[in-house]
Amino acid sequence: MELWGKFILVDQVCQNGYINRTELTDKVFLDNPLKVGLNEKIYKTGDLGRYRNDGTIEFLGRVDHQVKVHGFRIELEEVEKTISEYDSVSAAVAMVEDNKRLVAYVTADEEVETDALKSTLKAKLPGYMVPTRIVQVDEFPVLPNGKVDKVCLAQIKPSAEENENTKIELPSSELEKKIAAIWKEVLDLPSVGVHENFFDIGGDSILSIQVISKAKTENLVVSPNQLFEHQTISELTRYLEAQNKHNTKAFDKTEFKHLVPIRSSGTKPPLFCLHSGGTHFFYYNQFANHLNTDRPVYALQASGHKDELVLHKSVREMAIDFITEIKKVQPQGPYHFIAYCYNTAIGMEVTRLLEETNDSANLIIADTMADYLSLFAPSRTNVRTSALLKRLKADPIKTVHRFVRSKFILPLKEKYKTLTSSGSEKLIRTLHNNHIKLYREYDWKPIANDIRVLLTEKSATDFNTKVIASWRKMTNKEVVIVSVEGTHDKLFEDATIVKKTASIVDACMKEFESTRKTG
Amino acid sequence: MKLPESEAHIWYFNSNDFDELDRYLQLLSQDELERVNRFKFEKDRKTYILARGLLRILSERYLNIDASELCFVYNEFGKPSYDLQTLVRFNVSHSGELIVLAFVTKGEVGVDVEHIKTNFDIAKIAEGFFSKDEVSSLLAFSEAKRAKAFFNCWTRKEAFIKAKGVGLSFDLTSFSVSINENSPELLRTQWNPNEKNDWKLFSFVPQEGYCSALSVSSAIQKVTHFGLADLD
Repeated sequence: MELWGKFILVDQVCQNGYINRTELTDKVFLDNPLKVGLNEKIYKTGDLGRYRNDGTIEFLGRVDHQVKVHGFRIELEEVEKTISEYDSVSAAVAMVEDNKRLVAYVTADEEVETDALKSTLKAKLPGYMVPTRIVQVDEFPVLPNGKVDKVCLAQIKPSAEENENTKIELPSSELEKKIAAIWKEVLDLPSVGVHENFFDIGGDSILSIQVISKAKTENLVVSPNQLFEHQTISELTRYLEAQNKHNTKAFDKTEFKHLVPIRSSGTKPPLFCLHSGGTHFFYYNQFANHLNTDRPVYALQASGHKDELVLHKSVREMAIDFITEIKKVQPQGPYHFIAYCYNTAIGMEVTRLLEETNDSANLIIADTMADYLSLFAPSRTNVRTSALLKRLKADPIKTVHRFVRSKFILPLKEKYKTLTSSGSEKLIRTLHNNHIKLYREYDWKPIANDIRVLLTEKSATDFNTKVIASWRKMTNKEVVIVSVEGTHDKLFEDATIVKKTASIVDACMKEFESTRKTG
Repeated sequence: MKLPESEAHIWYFNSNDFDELDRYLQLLSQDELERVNRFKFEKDRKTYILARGLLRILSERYLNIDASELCFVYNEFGKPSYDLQTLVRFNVSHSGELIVLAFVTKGEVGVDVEHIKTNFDIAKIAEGFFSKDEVSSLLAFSEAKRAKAFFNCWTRKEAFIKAKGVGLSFDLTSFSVSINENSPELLRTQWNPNEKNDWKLFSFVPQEGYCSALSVSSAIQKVTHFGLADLD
């Protein structure tokens, strides 16, 4: 809507004009949208003007008869002349409203069928010269100099009935009706038009979450963000429909060698789970199920297991392949990555590549030390042995059980997994060995990006301090430590832990997106 | 008006105490007037005109500049701030007939006021938008006391995200606030366990049937309250 800097003008000009015509005057004054009294402001000239949205003053009394709407040059006189030729119309005035709509005011002896008039105009004039709104008035307000007072005229709103038609468009589609029913209930209103803005008709933040909550029960997934971006029923409906279409879009698997969709639907920037040797991408399935449903989740694997193996020659080469496919599903940042164990090297490298294209990347490391293999270097064996002995002292049964489990049962399970799923064990072992080789050869150099490190509580030793220190060396920016529950090997496996891991990773991504926006 | 670093000032107004709006309307900028025009209902217009008018009047005093020089800028989530070099931060909230304005000179500030209502499914909203520990604390309250507890929690959460300037797009389940009457506190911030130490929360009952909360830097030691009588 436009600011009528004009009540002032109404005061000074129109009152003079209509001293003995209460009917017309009433109609003109009807429009004061504030209903809270008038400001004493004076424009020197008494010229006709109004403030436009951009803050400039438009002098309507002298407006050129040639105007532009949406880039089209419109001859107002031509429009007026064509309207005047219509049967019952005696006179017509055309003008541009809000810089973007062509409107016409007509006088006639009988009631003018505006719809019929519009159809006639459409036949005679180019589309952009047909007024969006035609309003019939009893007579045109005039200035003391006899000219039509366009400022006053512009304030004559369509009659209530017309208004109902043009402004309060009631919901028609199923989805619109559904949303409207929710809005009406939450806002406690008898009716809501599809073009009415939620925050203009009494909506606020707590009411917005009530809308979202009620929508959810109707199986409509809307986030507060989406409601803020689509503030009318019409926009929200259009958005949800488009979303629905987008979500069901088939994912063409033949296009991708490395990228596997765990869930391709959702509107938030996707999470890419890096994993490249040994295990299968469905390793992350359970985890993905607990993530915010509005976020797509993809896994990246070095190679499929069925066809010819892709054996990369370096981590860098693998990262380039990954980024090429990532860009196909998500052309622009922010990108979220989660990396675990051996995949942290590839995490570093994809992040570095994205730095080069100025894309923002959120690298989340799940409870892993940088340059992890150094743990197994001979010099560390003593530390590991003494840590084991310490644990053994504290809780012998649990420690032995855990040791046996980690050394024998888990690898066996892993083997079993690979055997029962697609691809032969041999292929997977080849892949895994190649991956370890690449990892070992990887040159650990710092990136210019924050690194988020999820850390589980470790017993006794100062292992976590070492993990943190190892990542501090890998970035010129910050290492953000995020505590997580459970143990390293349970983060994505244990049913209760994985849920917690997911909620923390969700929070990490949200925080990353919001700090990026505000900062 | 003097505002020491260790203090927050909070102003409460009841829109029913104002009949004449001209004085406030005159102070508004072009974009604020346009906002006024977009409201469909008179009561929303009135609250907005007063909130913005009062904000300008009070800002004039805290900043020692003329209200006509005041300009606001908005961040991506719509949080306004002064478009000038100053340590003064403000935040405004309104609900029902109440308008609340808060000012600090140290750190950021967020304020929220809510008219306590019970015409919605409190437990369901909480389950959708509160953290797990908040939900369980809320459900521990008897039904009779639950609404007040809900609004304690909500206003604290909203004040906090307003102080952070992130808006409702922020995941409300990723942090926890206390819910009880007496000790407002930010308990947990999932993304950074230490961030909870940077903030302080305060809760008030500005008027029967309302609930309000203030979120400020932990450096703030004292909150001083003002009202209509202090305006002139």
